[in-house]
Amino acid sequence: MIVRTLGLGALVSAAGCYTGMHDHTAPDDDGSADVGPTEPGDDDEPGDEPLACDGQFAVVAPRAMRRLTPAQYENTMRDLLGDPGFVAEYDATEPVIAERGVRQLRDGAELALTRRDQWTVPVFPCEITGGEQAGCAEAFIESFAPRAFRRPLRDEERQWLLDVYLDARGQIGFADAMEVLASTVLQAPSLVYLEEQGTPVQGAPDEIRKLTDHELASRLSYFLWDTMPDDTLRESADAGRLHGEDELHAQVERMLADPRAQQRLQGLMWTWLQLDGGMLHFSLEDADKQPELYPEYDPALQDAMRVELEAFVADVLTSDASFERLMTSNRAYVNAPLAALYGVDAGPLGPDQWTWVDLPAAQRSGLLTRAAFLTVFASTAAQSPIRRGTFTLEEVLCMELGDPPPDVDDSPIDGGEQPEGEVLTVRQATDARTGDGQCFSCHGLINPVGYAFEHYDAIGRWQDQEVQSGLPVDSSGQLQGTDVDGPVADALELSQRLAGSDQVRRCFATRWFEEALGGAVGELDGCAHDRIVEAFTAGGDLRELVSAIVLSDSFRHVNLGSIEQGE
Amino acid sequence: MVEQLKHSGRRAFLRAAGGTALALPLLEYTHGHAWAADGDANLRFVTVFTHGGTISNMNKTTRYDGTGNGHGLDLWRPADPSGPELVLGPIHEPLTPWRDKLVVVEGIDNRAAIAQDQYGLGGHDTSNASVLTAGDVTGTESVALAHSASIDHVVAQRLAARQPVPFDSIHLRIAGHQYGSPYFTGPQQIVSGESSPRAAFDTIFDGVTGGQPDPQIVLRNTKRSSILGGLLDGYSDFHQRVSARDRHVIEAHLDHLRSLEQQIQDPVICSPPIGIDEDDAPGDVVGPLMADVIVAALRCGLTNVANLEISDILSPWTSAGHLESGLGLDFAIGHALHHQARDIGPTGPHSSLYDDWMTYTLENRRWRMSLVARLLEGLDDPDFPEGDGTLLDNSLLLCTSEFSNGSRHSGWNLPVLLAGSAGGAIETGRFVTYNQAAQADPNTLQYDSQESVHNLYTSILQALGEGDDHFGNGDAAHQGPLPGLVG
Repeated sequence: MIVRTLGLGALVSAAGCYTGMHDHTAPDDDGSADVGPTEPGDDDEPGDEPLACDGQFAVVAPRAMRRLTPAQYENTMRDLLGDPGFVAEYDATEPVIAERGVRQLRDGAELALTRRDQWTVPVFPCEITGGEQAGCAEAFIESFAPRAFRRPLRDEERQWLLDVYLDARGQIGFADAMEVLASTVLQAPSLVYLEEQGTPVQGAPDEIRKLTDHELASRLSYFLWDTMPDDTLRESADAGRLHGEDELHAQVERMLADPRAQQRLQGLMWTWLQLDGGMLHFSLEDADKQPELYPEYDPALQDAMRVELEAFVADVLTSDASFERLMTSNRAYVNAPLAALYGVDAGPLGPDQWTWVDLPAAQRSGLLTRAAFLTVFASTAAQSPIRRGTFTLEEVLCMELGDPPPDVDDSPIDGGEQPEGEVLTVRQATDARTGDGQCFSCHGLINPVGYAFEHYDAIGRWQDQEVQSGLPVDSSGQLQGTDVDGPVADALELSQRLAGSDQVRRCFATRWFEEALGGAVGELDGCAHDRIVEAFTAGGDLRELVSAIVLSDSFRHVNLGSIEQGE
Repeated sequence: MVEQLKHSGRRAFLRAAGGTALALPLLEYTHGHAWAADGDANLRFVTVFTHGGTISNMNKTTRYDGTGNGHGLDLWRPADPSGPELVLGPIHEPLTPWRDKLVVVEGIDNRAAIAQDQYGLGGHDTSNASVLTAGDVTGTESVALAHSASIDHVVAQRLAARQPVPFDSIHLRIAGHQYGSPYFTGPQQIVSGESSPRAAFDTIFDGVTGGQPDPQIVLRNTKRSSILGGLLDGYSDFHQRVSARDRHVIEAHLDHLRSLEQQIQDPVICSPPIGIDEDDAPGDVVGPLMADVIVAALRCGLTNVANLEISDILSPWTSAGHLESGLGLDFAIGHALHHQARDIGPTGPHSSLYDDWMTYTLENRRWRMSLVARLLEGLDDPDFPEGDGTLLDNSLLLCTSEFSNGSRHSGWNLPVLLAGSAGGAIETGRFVTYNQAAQADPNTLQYDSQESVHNLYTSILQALGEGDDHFGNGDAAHQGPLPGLVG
């Protein structure tokens, strides 16, 4: 079981915001079988006493063997066959593959073989439709299977594949038997799964092993590029050089300079901001707004918001890779509708013209003040301080808030005229709904962070008066339970504060570390985790973060032991 | 000739060995009936899982009376709950023609979810992962995973052992918002249904032909067999290599490869349904097509078990669809509808929406029932009889949800509807309530039941001829079947 969030030792103080709700019962509840919510975080903390980093051997937590994600599978098939137009209908993301996924892998291999005229790399060593050619199957096995399996072949695999071919050839023609052979390779376990056996480490327990160079190459390539290793990386592994720190570092630098790395890291940023949707909100593309309130909001504007954010992230990644800049910069890539949304003069812009501008410095500061984020974390009518605050606490500060009780009223709080005729701001209406004792144990933390964003309406426009209520906004807020506690005047000050927070950097580093490992950070990763956090906290350099992750013991080792419950 | 086949006592779908064409008259459908040696008919099991609960006033051991924020109605209940004769309630109105073949069961709790939920109610993730498995659940942060297989899978394996079919089960879904899937084929093995009618059709009716076997299909199947043979060897070796903690993953992969192998049939002669070519369409288009695929798959004998999963979707296409925009839903998902229900009662902030909410939601739930009706119509077609009855008579259909009251997220008193008699094992046309508090007063707001999904699924297994004396974990109040449901 992969637990996505990680309990962080530094955050225990905030983890129990629901503890005040032990006796929660609805007024008309009979009260039977009620148990208090569990306090999150205690069981899977990475230990109060971090493992010493100066042990005699590396330590690493056990994690389940990984299967290629749908994106990784598609990219791998494209690279393997040199067919960038290959589109797989493979969408299996369950921890254990279902029948549908296995069928999709079959269909993917069959589809790939029908696209032979699109292949730009030599796959079959002979022309298979031109009559039988002796030795073609053997040559194919030697040349293609090691690329597909991302490592040299074992002897028994060579024999296995040859037997598959010969059995098929006994029943069907040469070309068909060659297709059977190719299709078997394209669905083989060593392609579909990230097999990591490692090699023994002297003095270490049996289950802790050092990755082979080829296993390391795969981990690295899927982390940074979301696809199989390229020729250069594979040659480094073939030569047995990759495990050397200098070589590994050089490969990281080389790969980070590749557009595939930018795309991948942009994707990680997008995932972090949950802009493709979450359990309680829609993706940017599906985030509807009330047309009478936001007439300019349309698919083109949604698309522009995405382009803007991607360009901003790419700009940071390819220049100084500064996390602080990510959180505070007001530089933006805009087209005419976006310039209008941000209230900035971008000069005359044609329909498809884009340009870099500085957004009003008194209004914008980094990712959390950009239209894409603000639009997703809003209702159809108004800003949502609860959603924005919850995201900031849970995903930016890695504080665990737990689940609200199942029967709370979570209908949108849009402010404006209330049933009794009173006109309230979103903030006032939010206080009215969540300000009492029961809700306040968590919302006392959440709301004051969300209120800092009150100047941005449901599509991220700056507002001094609310769209719905017409009342002036109050963006004063408060950070509590963090390493940067205190009042904040607005989202600008909040972003500045977050940009300088060690807790925020620790949280961000942890998310990327989890992505690199393909699972939750466990207790045995504590030492590696601390070092990565230290490296990132010092300079806030995203490229440094990637290097620190790749060079960590956890990234270069595997633990084949059993996974404890809850890890 | 058609008449002869109906009663010929042979499998109505014939497999042409080695690709040899069999002369067989072309039928619009052949029916998938097969007679066992003892003359008993094959049995089938169908589940319809409708996400998000129903229109219910359940809390835990009481019902809301409709004086507070929420409504006080249970529109799943029979209109006359004094029973035992079934008087269908408002939601079940589309099922009226099959009233005599239905059983509405009241008083079934999901005790597995109630025991594992921190609030003693259910909760989305815990309820979904336990409602069909009656078992333990891990993880509630994103998608919960069950520790055991769901009832449909257990039944599918048992029936396939007795009644070999290409597909042990098929699983189709009307896509939309939902919190995880209730279907599991084993520990952590969550199943997502196929949501594209075209993909479902391509998979299930692959190689099924109304006439001559296509030589291309025969060759393709030969190649697939070779590949699967190779992959089974390769994955078996891999299974030996990986660490013990990962073996269950590869075992599942091997199981699925074997299933694919089982599905490679010599050409099945049975006219597939026509016009199932939608890929991504709204529920009102996808829903009926999925029901048609299920009916045809059962008639053609391609499977014994079919699951139709309906996400918690809104229904702008019903007669009340125009009310949707006025309901003030933040999100276009059924879940928002249930949350709205908390606030529409006499003292709720949205009390003015009460009538529109009730009208809209009732039509939404009736639309879902119209898909059950379409299944029943196809299975109960007198033109495709089995023995003295219809395919429906030899089937058992279960329609349920993870909640009773969606707004309360209550796993108490789940909506349970059965159809078909499983070959005469279940007496139909009844309302059965296990709410002991209702014995004296059928309309009481008090609720007291000792029955859980554990007991319901034990009964279902027994109705389908299995000898199990318990299903699921130890959270039920008692072991064994529901009293008086079967036999």
